[in-house]
This record gives sequence, C-alpha cells and structure tokens, in this order.
Amino acid sequence: MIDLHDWSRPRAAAAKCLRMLAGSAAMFVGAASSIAAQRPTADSARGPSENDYYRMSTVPVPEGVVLEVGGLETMPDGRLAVATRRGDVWLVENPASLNGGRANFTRFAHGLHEALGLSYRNGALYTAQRSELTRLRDVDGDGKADRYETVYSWPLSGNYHEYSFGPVFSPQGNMIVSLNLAWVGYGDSFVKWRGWMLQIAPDGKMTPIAAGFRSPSSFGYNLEGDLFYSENQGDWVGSGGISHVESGDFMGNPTGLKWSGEPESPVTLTRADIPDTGEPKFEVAKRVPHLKTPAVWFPHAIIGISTSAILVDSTRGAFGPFAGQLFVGDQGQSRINRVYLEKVNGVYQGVVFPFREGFASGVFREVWGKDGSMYVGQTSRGWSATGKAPFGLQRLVWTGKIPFEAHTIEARRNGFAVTFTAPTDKTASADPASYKVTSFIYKYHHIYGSPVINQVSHTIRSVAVSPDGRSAQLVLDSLRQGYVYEIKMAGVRSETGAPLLHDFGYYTLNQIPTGVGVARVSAPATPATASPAATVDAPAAISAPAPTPAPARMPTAAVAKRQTSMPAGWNGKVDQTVSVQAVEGLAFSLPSFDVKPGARVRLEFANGSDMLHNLVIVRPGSADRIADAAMKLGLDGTRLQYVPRSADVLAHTALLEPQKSETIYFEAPTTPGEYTYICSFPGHASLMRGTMRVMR
Amino acid sequence: MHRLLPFILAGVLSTTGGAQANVSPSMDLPHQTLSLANLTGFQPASANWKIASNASAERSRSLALTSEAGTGVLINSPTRGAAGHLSTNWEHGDLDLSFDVLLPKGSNSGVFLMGRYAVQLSDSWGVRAPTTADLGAVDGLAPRQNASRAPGLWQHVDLAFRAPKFVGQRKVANARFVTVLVNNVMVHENVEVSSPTRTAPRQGEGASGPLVFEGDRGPVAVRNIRYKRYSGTVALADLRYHVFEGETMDSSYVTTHAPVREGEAVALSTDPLTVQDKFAMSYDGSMRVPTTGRYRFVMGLGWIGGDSATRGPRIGGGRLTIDDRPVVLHAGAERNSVADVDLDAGQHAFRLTFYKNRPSFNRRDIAVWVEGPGVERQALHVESGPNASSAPINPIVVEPQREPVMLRSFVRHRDTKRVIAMSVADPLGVHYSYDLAQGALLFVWRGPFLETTQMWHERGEAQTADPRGSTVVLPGTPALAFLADANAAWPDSLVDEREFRRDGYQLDQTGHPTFLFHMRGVAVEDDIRPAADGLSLRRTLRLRAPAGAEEIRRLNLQLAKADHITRERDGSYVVGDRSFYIALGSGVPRPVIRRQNGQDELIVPVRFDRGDAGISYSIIW
Repeated sequence: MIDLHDWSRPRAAAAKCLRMLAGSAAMFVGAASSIAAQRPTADSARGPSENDYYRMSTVPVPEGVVLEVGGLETMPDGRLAVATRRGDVWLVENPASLNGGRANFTRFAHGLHEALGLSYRNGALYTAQRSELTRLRDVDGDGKADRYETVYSWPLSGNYHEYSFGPVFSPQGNMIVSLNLAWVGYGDSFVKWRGWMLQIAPDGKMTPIAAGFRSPSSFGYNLEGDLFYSENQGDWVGSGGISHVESGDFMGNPTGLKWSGEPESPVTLTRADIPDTGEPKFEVAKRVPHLKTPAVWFPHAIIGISTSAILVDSTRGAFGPFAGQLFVGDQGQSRINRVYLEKVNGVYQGVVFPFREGFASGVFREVWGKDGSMYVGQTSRGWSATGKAPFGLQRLVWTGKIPFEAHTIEARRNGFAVTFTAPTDKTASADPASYKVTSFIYKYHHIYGSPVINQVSHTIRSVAVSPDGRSAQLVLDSLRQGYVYEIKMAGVRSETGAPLLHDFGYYTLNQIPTGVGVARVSAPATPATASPAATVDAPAAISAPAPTPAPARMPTAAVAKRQTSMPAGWNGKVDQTVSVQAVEGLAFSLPSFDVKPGARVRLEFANGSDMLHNLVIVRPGSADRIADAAMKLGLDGTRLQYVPRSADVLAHTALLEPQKSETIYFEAPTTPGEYTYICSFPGHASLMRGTMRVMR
Repeated sequence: MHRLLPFILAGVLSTTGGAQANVSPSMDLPHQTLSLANLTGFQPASANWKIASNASAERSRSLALTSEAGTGVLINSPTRGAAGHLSTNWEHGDLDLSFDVLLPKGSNSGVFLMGRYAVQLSDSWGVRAPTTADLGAVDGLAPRQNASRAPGLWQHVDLAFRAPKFVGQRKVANARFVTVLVNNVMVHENVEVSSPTRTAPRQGEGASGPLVFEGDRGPVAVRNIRYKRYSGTVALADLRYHVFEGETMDSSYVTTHAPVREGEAVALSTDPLTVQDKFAMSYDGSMRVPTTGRYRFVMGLGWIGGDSATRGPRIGGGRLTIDDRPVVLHAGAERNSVADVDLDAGQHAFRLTFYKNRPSFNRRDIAVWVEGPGVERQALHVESGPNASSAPINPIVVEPQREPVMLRSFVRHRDTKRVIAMSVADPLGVHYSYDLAQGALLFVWRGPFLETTQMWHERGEAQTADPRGSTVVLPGTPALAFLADANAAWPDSLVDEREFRRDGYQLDQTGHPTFLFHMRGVAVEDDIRPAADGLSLRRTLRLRAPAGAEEIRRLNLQLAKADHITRERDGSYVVGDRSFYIALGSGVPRPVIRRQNGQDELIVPVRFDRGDAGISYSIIW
C-alpha cells in the first residue's frame, strides 16, 4: 500500500520532514567520460538485477526540445518543472504517462543563461542563472512566466566555468546558491564569491555561508535539516564526495579565500593559512580550524567520477527500504549511489553504496514525484558520460520488491556494524572470509586529483551475526581515524543463497565511536597483520586473463614496460622519437604513428587536458580487454596507474595529471602490425585510442 | 556574421619581419584606390556623372540625392537626356572590390563586373524576403539576407570576383563571385554566373572588361572605391626538404646538425615529420614571381599562440630567405609573422626553415602565404597534421517564430565581452542586444537572429551568442546618467548598486520584455520594441522618482554617441558617418549635441512631472 501524500513538499507541522531538495547540480569538470558499470547488469534469467527492484522508464521528450537538464522540481500539482542548460523552463504534465496518456511539455520560460537549479515556492519558480538568482512568476495566468525578477545578482569575469547552482530552500525559507570557480587550467576566483556558498533571504539580503568550494554543483538537506553538498575531483580535491556545510566552514579549495576579508565573510582563513603538503586532508584539518573534510568520500573512478544531485529519501517507504538515506547522482558514470549517514562525536560520516546505474545520459538532478517515484534529469554536453544520450529525463519506480542489500554500515569502537535488508545465511555472514576490508586516503594538494595512498588491507578478527541474521558486526585488527574503508561482502548470502545486489561500500571514518564495542562471537580469522600495500609499480594480475594470441616477439626483455630513462644498452641512441598529447575531448593528438620493427623508440607523452590520462601500448586485438581489466582494478587503480598486469601490455606511461608529461623508452615489436595505444583510465579507452603501425 | 577562417587569419599579426624588409602590420597588401578627385580614372563620362562631396539623402524623399561641391564622392544623377554608364579606364579579370554606396529612397543602380556581371545596388530598406532585384543580388540570385540600411545612409559592399577562364575560345570556368558582403555580412559565397547579365553593356564573355557603374536607372552616390586586380601566381619548384629531430631545437639547429631525413616536395608542409614536437625542417627550392614589385609574405606557425605560455623562442620560430636575404624572421612571438620584400619578375632562390621545441597547442602545422602585384594572396603550403581533417561543427542558430525570443548570453561588443547581456528577437525580423547591468543597448540589427554555437556546442567556452545579421554597433554606455553639470563626463559604466540596480524584466501579452531597474531610487522601465513596419526600434523609458528626490534634475538620457551627430531637415538626427538615424518621440524636448573627448553626444534631460517622466525615441537604420 503506497501512501499517496505529497512526498515532494515539506510538511509544515513536521519539522523533521524537510522538503526534498531538488538535487542541485554538481559538475562541471572532472567528469570525464566514464566507467562502464562495476558489473554488468545481470538479466533476469541469470539473477536479480537493479531493474527488478527499481524500474527505469524514460519520459518521452518532444522532438526539437533540447532537455539538457539543469534544474528539476516537482510542482504542487504534480507537474515537473525542468530548467535546461539552454535556458528554457519546461512544465511537464503527467510526466509518468499515466492512464495510457503521455507526458505533455509546455514552455514556461526561456532565454535564461544556463539555468542550473530550480525550486518552487509560493507560486514562483526560482533558478540560478550564471549572473543571478531569478524568480519566475506567471502573473496573468496564461501558463507562461511574465516576470523575470532579479532577486540577487553577482559579478562574472566571463569564464565559461563560472557556473551558478541552485537555489535550494533552507528550512528557514532562505535560498542557498553555490558558485563554481572559473577554470583556467586550474580553478580561480576572479570575482567576488566565486568558490562560495551564499544564502539569500527572500528580501534579497545575501549572507555568505562557507568558502573553499570548487565545483559545487549540487546540495541538499537531510531529514535532520543539515546541509550537504557534493564536490568533484580536481585541484585540492583528491576524490569526489559529499560534505556537511555549516556557516564558517572552509571546504578545501583555497582560491576563493581571497574574499574572506570582506566584511560579510564568516570565514577568517586566508590563502596563506592553507598548506600544500600533499598530506591527507584530515591531517591538515587538525592544524587548520574550520577546514572541513568530506562526510563521505566517493572513491574516484570506482563509484563515480563527478558527484551530482543529492536527494534524501523522504518517501517514508514509498521508494523502498531506504527512508532517510541520500541518493547521490554521478554525472560521468550515469548512475546513482546511496548514502547512509550517522553522526559520531557530533561529526557526520557514513557509507556510500552503488544503487542504480544505466541511465541514458549524465545524472545531474533528482526529485521525487508525487507518488514517491524518482525523476532523474540528465545532461552530458561538454562532460561526456557513460550514458551516451546527450540529455534525458528518466523515472525510477520501486517495484515493491526488497533488494538484498547492505542497508547500513555504522562505525563501532573496533570495527563496523552492517545491517542487511533481509536475513542472511548466518553461516556465510558470520564467516570473516566473506568480507574484505581495505583502508586508504587521498592527498590534499593543489594538484588535480590524487592517487590512493596509505592503503592497508585489514584483518577481520571476528564477525558477530545477530540472531535474526539481519546484521553483522565486524571486528577489525585496527581502525584508522580519517580514513576511507572499502568493505567488500562478496561472501554474504541471503537465506535463499543469493548474493548481495551490490556487495561493497565505502565508509569514511571521520570519528571512531567510543563505548559501543563489538562482541567477538565467531572464530578469529586466519591471523594476518595489516601491512601497507606495495608501493612499487608492479601491476596487479588480471584475475581471469583472456587467452592471448600468439605473442608478438619483443626484441629483448631488457626494457621495462614503463622505462622512463634511456636504457643503458641503447648507448644513447634513439631510433625514433614520437610525441603524443592527451587533448581536450578525450583524444590523443596523434591518431597514429609509424615505427620500424625493433626500433628504439622514445615516446614523449604530455597531458594537455584537464583530466587524468596515461598511454598504454597493447598487442593487436587486446585493447578492449585491457581497458576492461583496468576498470576492474578498483581501489588499486591509481597505484597501478590503471595498467593491468598483462602480457598484452607492451609499454605504458604513468597516469599523468593535467599539464604533466613523461617520456618513456621502449623497443618496438619486431612483428609488423597495428598495435593500439589507449588511455586505460576507466571510461577513456573507447575514445582515447590510436594506432602504432609497426612497418618496415 | 560568423565566418570560419583559416587559422592564419585568426592569429594576431606581428611585425617581427626582418630588418632588411619592409614591415606591415596587416596580412594584406593595401588596395589600390580609384581616385575620386576627378573623373580621369574613367572613360569619358556622360553628364549624369560628377564628383562631389557630402552626399546625403533624406530617408523619406524619393530619389532625392543631394551633395556639395568637392571631391571624394561619385554621383550619378540620371536625367532623360543623360543616363550613360560609367566605365573605368582600365580592365580587369579577377578582382577584389569594395566601396561605399548611398542610395536615396526608391533608387536603384548596379555595378557590372567586367562590364558584364551585375551586382544590384538598390534601396531595399524593409524588404523581408529579398529577391534578385535587391541590394547585393548578383545576376539571377537573391542575397541570402537583406542586410541593407535605410536610404540616405552609407552602406558598404565588399566582394571578390573571379573572371571566367578560357583555353583558346573554350570557356573552362564560369565567372564566380567568391564572396559578396553587404554591410559586413555574407550574402553570397562561391556562386557562379554562366553568362552576362541581360542588361549589361557588354554581352558575350571574355577574359577581361572594365568595371562599369550603371547610369541609366536611379541616382546613387559611391565613394571609397578600392580594388585589387589579379593576373598571376607565384610558383615554387625543385623543392627539397630536410627533417631534423633532437632534444633542444633553435633557429640555428638546421645549420649545425645533420638531418635525419630528406626528400623532394611539391609544396610546403610538415607531412614529412614523424614527431609532433621537437623538430626542425628546412625547405630549399626556387620561386618564380610573375611581376616586379612588392610582395608580402606571411609565415604562420600553428604551435605559437596568444598567451605567454605558448609564445617565445623556446617554443619555436622560423625564417624565410629569398636570394640569401632574410625576409621573414619569425621569432615565435605571435602565430603569424609578416614582412614585405621587393622582387623582380623571374626566378629566386627560396629557403624556409622553422622549428618547434616543445609541446604546444597540439599542433605542428605551418603556413606560408604570399601576395604581390597582381598576385592574390596564395598559400605556398598544404594543410597537414591533425588539424587538416577535423570534423566540422554543426552550427546552432536561434530564430523567432511567432513570438519574441529572448536569450541571455555573453555578447562580444567591440573589444569587450558583456557578461550580463540579453538579445531579443522579434518575429518582424528586428533584433537587439542589451546590457542588463547597464541599461545599455549594444547592437540593433535586422535579418536572421543569433548563432549560439559558441555557447551550446560542448562546454561553450566562449559562451557568446553572435548576431547573424548586419549589426549597427551602439556605444554600450548607460542610457541614463546623473550629470553633476553640463560638462560632466558621461559614465562608461555604472558599478555601484545605488547607481544601477537591475530588477529584471516583465513581458507583455505579446511577449516583449520591458527592462526594470533602479537608479538612485528612481524606478525605470525600459521598453524597447520594433515599430510595426519593422524599419526602426522604438525605445520608451518610463521613470518614477521617489518623493522629494532633488537629484532627478540632473538625470539625462544619452540618445547617441558618435564621431559626428547632425540634425537633419526633418528634425531627426543622423549619427556617425551617416550610419543610422535617431528620431525623437512626441513631446521630447530638443536635445543638445555636446562634444566630449572628441565625440558628439546627443543628450536630453529627463523632466519629471509629479514624480513621473516618460521619454521615447527611435533608432532607424
């Protein structure tokens, strides 16, 4: 039985039932093209799939309407309001195409400058354009806005990356907007309040809330009324994630601190206060007051590449078993993740799980329909996404079936407590071998992104399962405050023997709780001491290598696959030098180059784009296999430069940050043929590939 | 008009040519000018032609062209007894031609290329769907759009014409208009005409003929006639290249190191390279020039760019040497380097060297262009490298249908980017761009509305919307300002929120926006919309002052700002070089023309009556 109350509106009487926040935008930058799914969606004949629980349907969009969704809102009458990057606002009646009917589009407003947010309040729609917060009203009642009112305006330098997002209404009825940094090869704040979040009262009075934002495309409230925003990997941001925003916070990118001296600023830090040491952010935050670390890190390329919409499950069950949790979009991976938050020692932290993938385009905005289904607004222009459609509007409906999932993970004094949406097979869930736990963190520095650092594999000392089989408490060998914990649960089974629909999550341990311990019940696992993962460049093996064709003969084995200095045996002589750049738009500068068999090749690789790239030369016919293997490296990816260990890899560079270069030396194969080179960073290889022709 | 030009035109021109050569900042050699000091440049003229100055025409008086004694303007005033054509005393084949033209109301005339192929000159003001009779039409082909201005205004025609080609008596190529631009927008591109215009003075085709101004139709004034005639080409022969690769490249690398490769070539290119960066090349050969005279060479290096990170000798450079004389010394400061040299007709030794020392712009392409006496600017290179075959981008355009269209965007205005701007289209085909942060008009134009490719393709890094029609460029300064006294300077911009606070805009039933803003407490409604005939844009400002505001007596409206503003007999004002008209609405007091910093400003004080004021004027073009 579904309670058909208005899910999308706040209930005046229930302070805790805050309105859904039209997931606000996240982007823009950092979203490269993306990863294909963590795992292929199983079809129903082989096992449960996400679609068995959350059915995806597409809202039909009239031909000619370019619905690059920038903002999404549910109106009190059930219509959807959709703001687009081309500046239109569409009203969609019957978006679910109920009663055998069809969604009907009418244009409410047009001509806005890249509207990246939309909220309804008291008969008006509010949207952020590049230069202002605008109120749209239809005074004469003809269904079209006839008042475009500037509520508050801010300056622009004219850089395209100066996106403005929002608004989201606060519980107090103020409007929250966030302002992207400009992008000039790095983030910069050329004009006031770029890199800030602002609060604007209905009368237009502006109050800055917090600084240090980079690309804060989306933000929203949880049921407790606390504000969270999503950030994208970039300079000073090692990986994406969501952070709790409070007045006076500094979120991490120091560029916008040039305005902290303004009289309205609640932030007192200056640029000089921020060290650029590459230490983990939580370490720096110990010395820098008000530096905020994420509530939940979203490991880059593993669970997303460009965090976007934040939508709290306020459907009280209409959308399934995850009431109160957050659904956080990812633009580049065309997916939605699920976040469970808890507060430990007054600090938010929690876990992110995969939830639903396979959207048509880049997921950017989420909103609840009146029936508790979720509408997902999408765009991939300029930031390509796994979903190849240029834009989309889709709907997720809970089918009423409960997926077998880890429901929550909470921190304990000496480990983690996992709850499940259904009873588990206690034999399996009590077996420490059913789990694998690894912790790690990222660097905090001006450089774009970060490798995974300080990675440690943990020993699970014991697992205690509740009598009903619905929860398991894991005792670990140690806990490290500030770290991200990868918790894999591949061995957990339901009572009917089914594996979890998604068998891993990433928990950010900002605080270690005291007092709540975990009783040791099951036998200790095979002892193994935690040890730092190897930091050498030895690539990991592909778990199931495909049969390789007869190997092309390499002239000598003397040259390593990533040889960054000229091999001594070459006696200073290079037969050929090749220069390749990675350029904007996921491309190599050279579509092909020729080498002679056995030639001693010096390859200069420069990354001229704003994403991470490598160059990997592989045997003929193996490019897709290597790209797929690289994608599966998961947490080990950055450490291994996203290069799988495989005989098919002939030579490769490191994974380079933007504007960095590396020169490698290799001997060309002696067998003539067409050898592919790819960028093996997840999601890039389908576009970034070229051909090394070995010819006499 | 958005034109995709070869990169070499997009680069900033430099003056880094060799000291031995003459240096010019332009890519192009100057045009020849057809003197209008008298009629000696023409074959004997009939009495309808004269030389004068200060041509003008009132926009509402049919066929009435006036002028003053003087020089510089060619006037045709045909009468029943005198209506002959006017032919130059020289002939041409391939020709680039530009001139200004002023037509009185209802008039029409034309120009015959080679005495045979007509380009229409006609008063086409307000024509919505231009035909073969309208301004810019070539024989049998209507212009893409009506880019014309009101009668009595100077308009500009710019065209490139190529003569038909013959082998013996056999025609092997039709006459061709490579480009025809009217008031700076393209109205034809690469269209062929297979036979002379029916009414042309010369019939039958040939390789040359005079430029003929049509005399037997309406009155017309023409000035600034500039042209280039082309008859020959420069040819390279016996080209050999040498390729150099190494760690540290500089301008002397090609003389101090051995090449890694060499071979023969038919044109200049970087195709022989196998690397993208860190290389040098040389080309040696002979060059034949057809005519003695001054030649202009442009050397472009694709990897040199506009900012300091992609400029300078560390990145690249080059040198063009003719008969052992350095002609172009490309120092890597800008993408293109330009130099002139005087050459005798015949063979010359040719040597080109260039180098690239590090990754930049993901490019390795070069270009060498030459222009000379009778030689059209021609490429001595062939396109190569990764830029030669990049996929074209589908253009994105916005056009109104039944209702006005608004679009906020960045707008390029003169040398700046207006970042809080909106363009508004009317289905009548009359459009404008407006700076919302200044209450300032930026452009008005008719015809097609906007191209948004630079805004909506991929990330849209320029984020500009570009007018597709022929724009009248307005000053872009605030329309209203408080002036402390009659001599106070008009502000370029209003920054402080008390001086200017924008409130947004409201739409009426027809969808036309009225802009709303406050200036020192005075509420302003700025209502801009086309007149019903589509010939002008009417701006109405309605103001309401708070009670007791003293300073409203100092509030003024600037109607226009230009080098010259003059009052016409009918009470309207003509602005600039007869560029457009301003007509005042009823009840508006007579404005003053004041001279400030070398410019005329047309200013009228805003007069309030019980706190209200209203003022209106029209821009007519």
